[in-house]
Amino acid sequence: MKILVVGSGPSGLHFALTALRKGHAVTMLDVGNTRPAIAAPAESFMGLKRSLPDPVEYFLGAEYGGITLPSPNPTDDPEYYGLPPSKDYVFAPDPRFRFRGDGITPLRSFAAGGLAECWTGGSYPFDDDDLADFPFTHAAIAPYYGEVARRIGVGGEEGDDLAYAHHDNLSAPTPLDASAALLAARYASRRERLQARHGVRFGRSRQAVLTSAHGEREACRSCGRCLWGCPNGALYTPSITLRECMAFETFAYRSGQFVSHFETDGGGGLAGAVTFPVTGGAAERFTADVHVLAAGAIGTSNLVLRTQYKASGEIVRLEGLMDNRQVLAPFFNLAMLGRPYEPDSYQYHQLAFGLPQERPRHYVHGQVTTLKTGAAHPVLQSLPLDIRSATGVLRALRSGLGVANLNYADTRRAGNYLTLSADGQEWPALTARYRPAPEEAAEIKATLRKVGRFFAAIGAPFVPGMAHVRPIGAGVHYGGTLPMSAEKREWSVSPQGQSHDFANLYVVDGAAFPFMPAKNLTFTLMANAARIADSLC
Amino acid sequence: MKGTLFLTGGSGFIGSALRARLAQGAWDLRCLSRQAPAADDGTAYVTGDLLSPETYRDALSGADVAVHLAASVGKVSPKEHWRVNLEGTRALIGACRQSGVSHILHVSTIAAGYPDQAFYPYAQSKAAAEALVRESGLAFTILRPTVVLGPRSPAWASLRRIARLPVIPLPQGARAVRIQPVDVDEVARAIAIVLDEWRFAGETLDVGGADPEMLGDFLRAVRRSTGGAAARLVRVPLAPTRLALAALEPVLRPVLPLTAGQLALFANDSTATPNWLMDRLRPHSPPLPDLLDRLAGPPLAEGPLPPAPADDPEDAAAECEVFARYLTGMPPEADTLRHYLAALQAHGLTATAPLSDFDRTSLRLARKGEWMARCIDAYCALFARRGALRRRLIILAAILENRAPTNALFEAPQARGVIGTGLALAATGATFSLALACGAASLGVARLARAGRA
Repeated sequence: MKILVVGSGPSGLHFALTALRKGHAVTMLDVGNTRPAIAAPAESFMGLKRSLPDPVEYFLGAEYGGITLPSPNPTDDPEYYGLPPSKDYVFAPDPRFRFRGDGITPLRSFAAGGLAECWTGGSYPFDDDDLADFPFTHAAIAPYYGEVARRIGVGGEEGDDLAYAHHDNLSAPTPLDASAALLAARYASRRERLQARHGVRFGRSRQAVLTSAHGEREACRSCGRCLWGCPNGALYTPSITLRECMAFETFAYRSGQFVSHFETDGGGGLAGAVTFPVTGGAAERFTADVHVLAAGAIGTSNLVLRTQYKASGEIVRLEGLMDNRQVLAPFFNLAMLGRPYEPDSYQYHQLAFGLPQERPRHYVHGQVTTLKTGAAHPVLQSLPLDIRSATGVLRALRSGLGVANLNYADTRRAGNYLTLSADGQEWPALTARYRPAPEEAAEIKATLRKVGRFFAAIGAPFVPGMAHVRPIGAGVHYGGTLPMSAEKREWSVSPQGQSHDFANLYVVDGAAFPFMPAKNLTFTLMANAARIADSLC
Repeated sequence: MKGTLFLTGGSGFIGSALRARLAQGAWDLRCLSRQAPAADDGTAYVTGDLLSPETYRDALSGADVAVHLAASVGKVSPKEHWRVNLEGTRALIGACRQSGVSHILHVSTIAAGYPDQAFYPYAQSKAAAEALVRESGLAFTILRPTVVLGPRSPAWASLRRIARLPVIPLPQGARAVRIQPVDVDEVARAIAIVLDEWRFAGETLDVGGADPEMLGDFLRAVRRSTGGAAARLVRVPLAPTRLALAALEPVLRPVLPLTAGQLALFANDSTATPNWLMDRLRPHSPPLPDLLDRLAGPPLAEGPLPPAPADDPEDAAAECEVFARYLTGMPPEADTLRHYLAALQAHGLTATAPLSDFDRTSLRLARKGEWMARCIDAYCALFARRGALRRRLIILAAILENRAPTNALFEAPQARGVIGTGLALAATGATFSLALACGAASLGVARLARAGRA
């Protein structure tokens, strides 16, 4: 079977790899901006500053875009993502993609590998509570979690209080840094009392990081460069799977193609994709038996909306847009006071926590990151001190600083949608609207208080007044606009991802999620895409 | 027949307004003045010293009433406040008795009735002076004007300065307080009414303007009236601010922007209790917005703006040198300078970028040296976080943290232990406090100097 896949993110690539292994021919259409060569791959983070000919250019960028400055007006401050210039390619915009957001500012990527090229590797299987709205159970997807874990390498521990659902091929996690180790030890030493009093579960996070070599990829060597891009492939990114797909003769990766829409065949199906080459020139057409959308919930929805608009002139509204709300709560690990910091260590989360809620699927999930090699100047400017004093304070406290990142589940709600709106251009612009649930603010307040008390109890109190509720869009977990559903409804897809509106179209990315649990979705994106690919005959 | 009026403080702020009002009226004025005025303005001056009654006893005899305006205000030592305000009043009362002057109109202040007069010798001495008047045996009326506004008002200058900061700091205690400022001409009118109607019934009467306002709202209104963009009010805890100022005052009084005592304005309501005089004044009192508009324009203190700091590469290099020494204790390497200049350009912080008054002043001062840069930065860290100085320093810090060897200064040192870390933090805190005080003082002085030049 000839399959056309749009998008090279985690969903598209794990779909493609599964389909290729089943003997199908896959053509992948993608804008496909690629990562620049890795600077001095053998160096550690500290080594880069010493040995690069111009470390300032590497860390701040040729245009100094890596310098975070306060805007003259407080309301103009953009959300801080801490993304370095070496990851600019992930977010390089494309002028053909026009977007207007109301209440949501999503990130978009046209990179080979997609947004997950700069993910932090959190890989959590959804359990039956998380999957309550999905038209399948954990048992149905568990084999694919195992398969994806084998492909990408997922480290973690089983049997701790976090009690994540089981899947095969879990490997050893990275060794804990000193700060994380102290937190874990403190939790272990008073586990029962903490459990009884706070109800917060605590344990190792799940990381898509290798602790032993895997094919061409080396094990993590604690070089401290995670933020700037793992130099040896220990931290999984989808472009690794893209290289794996490239080894198949039946795989064609057509980058430099901005997919505009699909043409319909007049019989309820699609006849092929119309693309604009990014270097300019005439539109191109790609045909296939099966069309697979994996451009990310925003891109995928845009293509469905444009296809419908082109075919019928009708502008529809895809309801149910979701994103996980994130709250960042900086803490200080008191036991680290006076201790050295470890720039040469794994930089992302090593610990995770969960707060069960009355409604099980509204479980609050969190990851704990201890701060190490992140840029200092964004922190310095936020302290109410002169920069020199702020530097002194940051140096003294740096080894104990960290961030608890709380994630909240999201549900599909009417009024949160993606649609097109005419703005005088040839194509109407993609337009999004999002409003949080009315009870959200109270939920955040209550859970933040509970988690804050728990962190204080393990010796890492939250820094007062510093918790930051990130805007919607910053969760970077978009979905819900073309949900999988057991019953046949307009603008939804079957449990196997097959569109109810266009017969030979499959949606295999987050757009097909009927619910957004608090746990990071990327692992499930990959497993679900593999599951759907496996269901194709 | 005209009465004779003996006036102290006649050349002062309220005194000038009063003389203007009484000029055509029913009173012959005899003004006590420390030195004879340079030009004859039609007023009869008596050269003398309030504290030396023998210098003016002759001029006093035969007067129908003494109007006592003279007082020590502003940033002088507590001793001076007590000497002029209390002892001066004692001397005048004694002279009145000896000279047979039986009536006194004593102009006090709303602050004399503040419940909270901590660190405020001005208010304390004025309250003590009021007590002397009450016990003097003379027929008296005491007026307590609220915050008196007018083109030459010292209070106006301070309030305006506060209101024009990039962020308005509002020291606040247990509750927000109200203010009811009064036009200086209204105070003069109040004095004239008491005199014309000869009401000396031993009353103490507050004199305020049209309407009370929350102090924060008032500061916002001052800012609006002087053409400033809307600004955020930042509430600053009153008690520690007052303690800090009180501690610094003995040494730094001349350069502090505000004294601990003056913070009483933020701790007490400065509103007028209703009385018959207020009933008479109110129908004609200018509404506060009108008063502010009148005070605001034409521009008073600013004068022509000084030229923007030149941003040619040589100046920027000098700036980079000072800032690098401030941040690292070392001069910048050539590469750091090159990146600094390029990054300023890339972020639009060039000579053509518009700078506010405050930005200009803070940059000019910060370029004077590394300690001054730290002081001004400390001030800006609290009150001008988004200003030009901070943006430049952040750019330089970003460069310095990303190249050896200066990166080491931004990274955690090797283990220092709990005590070592505690000591380091305490030292940092102390240095910051000192830098903040000096920064505030320097910016205050710079502003005053500019106002003076204008």
